[in-house]
Amino acid sequence: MLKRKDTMKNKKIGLLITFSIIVSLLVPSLRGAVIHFGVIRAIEEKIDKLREKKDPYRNLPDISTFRSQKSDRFIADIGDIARGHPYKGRRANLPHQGAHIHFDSTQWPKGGGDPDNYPAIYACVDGVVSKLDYSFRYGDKNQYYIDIAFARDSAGSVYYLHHSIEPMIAEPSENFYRQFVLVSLGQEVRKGDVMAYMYTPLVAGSACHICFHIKRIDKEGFMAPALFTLPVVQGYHDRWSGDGFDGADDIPPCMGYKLEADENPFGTGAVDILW
Amino acid sequence: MLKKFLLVIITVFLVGSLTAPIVTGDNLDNRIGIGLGNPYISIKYGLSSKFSIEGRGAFGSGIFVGGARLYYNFNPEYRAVIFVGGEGDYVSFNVDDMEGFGFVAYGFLGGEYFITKRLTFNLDIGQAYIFLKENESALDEEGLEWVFNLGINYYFK
Repeated sequence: MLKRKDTMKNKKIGLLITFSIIVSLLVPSLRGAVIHFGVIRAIEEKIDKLREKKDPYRNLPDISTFRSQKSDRFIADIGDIARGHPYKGRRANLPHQGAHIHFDSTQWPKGGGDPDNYPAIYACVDGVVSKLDYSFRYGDKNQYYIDIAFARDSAGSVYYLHHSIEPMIAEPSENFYRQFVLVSLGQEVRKGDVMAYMYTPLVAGSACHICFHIKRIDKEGFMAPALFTLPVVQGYHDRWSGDGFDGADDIPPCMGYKLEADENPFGTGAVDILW
Repeated sequence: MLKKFLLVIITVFLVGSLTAPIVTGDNLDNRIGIGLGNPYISIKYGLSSKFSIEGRGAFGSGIFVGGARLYYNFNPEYRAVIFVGGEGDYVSFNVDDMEGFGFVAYGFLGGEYFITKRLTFNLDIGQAYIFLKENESALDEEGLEWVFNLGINYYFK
């Protein structure tokens, strides 16, 4: 009888020790963890992630949203801009299907040679990196570019903002431009994130610029990047310097000038000025 | 909230496993039970007092999970039986825009409380490794997830 009692007591102590160990292991790893009520819930979450992988753009807002909800974050800091011009549509005297932000590469870097001493290139809207090339090659020249998918329309088209670092100049060494790009393909970006730093070799001088416009994935045609609030557009306009002309015509503050209907991302037809 | 609830339940089980008197007079050896849970159905069989096996099917909207479990019971002679175990499942899904398959490997810790000689309440918690593959795109998704299960069992013998 006494022996049986002792055995039971030992068993209880053994159990207590075993579960103390298990619980002490479980509790820290459970801290902050999501616990799914049933395996089906856990699988549903995995299916959602799979769905995001399959269609990473499914949660993007409709392009019409950007007619009224403009961004107050420009692609570059206004103070860094040396000159520039808006997207000049096909109805302009001198069409140019990309807005430009010019930098004076002789003024950079400010500080050491690390990438973050060059002008920052920001995500001006929330989106997903839909395409990028750290070293796009054309002949013996290279460039880097980043596309941010940020909207869709009722027909299912996905709109992206293309940021092209120009002019194309051969990299000083293989993969040299890679260090200036902070994002990767498929990455989600939030408005205000630094996506890259602006670098072109010194030889570019003041020709160093970002060319940007809106396009649709798998569709032809360029559109004006009319995504910014009026104060931002005004600030950008103030930095245009001598580039803010269409031939002899002084271009007023805008992001798109003399646009054909298909160059207007909001589908409101041909317009002279779009911001 | 769920975590607090879990903590209370686990504590009750631990205390019950150490202090509750024997009420069934039975252990789990050679007993067959059917189970119902959140949401699953199961059939369980006691291989011995220490080991049990179970077949399980879980259903969701367009999701089916089917597999088997192996339990090790620490104290089968008690009213609150504490166990650890492993589960392997095949998964198939067909939801809105996607169809595919996968598998789950689940390791768990839990308890089974004998409300009566035949009816038990059981729960377990553990980590599940889930792998899913979508047929059309061949894209896959995998990872570890914490899972918590609740259910009841009815034993025929």
